[in-house]
Amino acid sequence: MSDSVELTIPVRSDLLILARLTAAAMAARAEFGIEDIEDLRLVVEELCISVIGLVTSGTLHLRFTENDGAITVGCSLWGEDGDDARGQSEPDELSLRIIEALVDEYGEDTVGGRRQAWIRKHRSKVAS
Amino acid sequence: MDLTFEIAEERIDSVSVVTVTGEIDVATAPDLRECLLAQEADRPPVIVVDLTGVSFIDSTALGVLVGAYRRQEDAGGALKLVVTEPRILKVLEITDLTSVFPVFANVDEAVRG
Repeated sequence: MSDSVELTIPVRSDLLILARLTAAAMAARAEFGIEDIEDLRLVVEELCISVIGLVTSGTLHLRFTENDGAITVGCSLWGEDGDDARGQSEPDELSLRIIEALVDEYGEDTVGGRRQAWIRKHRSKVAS
Repeated sequence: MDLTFEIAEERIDSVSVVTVTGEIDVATAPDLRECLLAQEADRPPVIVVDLTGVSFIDSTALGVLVGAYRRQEDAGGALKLVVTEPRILKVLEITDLTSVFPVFANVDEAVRG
């Protein structure tokens, strides 16, 4: 079974906490451990930062999907007119290191004509 | 999860100690940067940033710390971190910054070390 939550927030640094809180809530609901929840919170922050880049207006659209013990988070940036507003800036090196270390998969694709960056993290298996 | 972000500064001998609590993210990192720049203006030989009370740190905050470290190094000084929270240590390790920053377990050690 797959569950999805969508979150739309203005591009404002003080509102990225809402993305982290949503990530933590989704991960807790999917029975992720504390370490995994914290990893996901951080990675979602980095995902948002990398998508926003130097852009200072528009809205950030996040879609959190839980499926079979994995959470996928897609993130795109819409301009005032609803168009794809992402700039061409590359993710910061530190941001990229964090994402690479903490997720199982990440990438970019196009959804509805807008570029989207996404990450996927599986629930860690608990050692018995 | 401590969402309260606070910065306090004090001097221990000639060392500038900056104590941060709460979450350092893209919204609060500029405050940390301003605080560190103000400390650097006094040209202390050592700045200690105490992250004991920090529960979250992102790449923006790490960038602020790296910038301050480089400026201190260029000025002939040093910047040291105090980190006890495993979560924060993990972020420093995966970004390979434990090989950049001198990391201590408490402020006394950082000031004396």
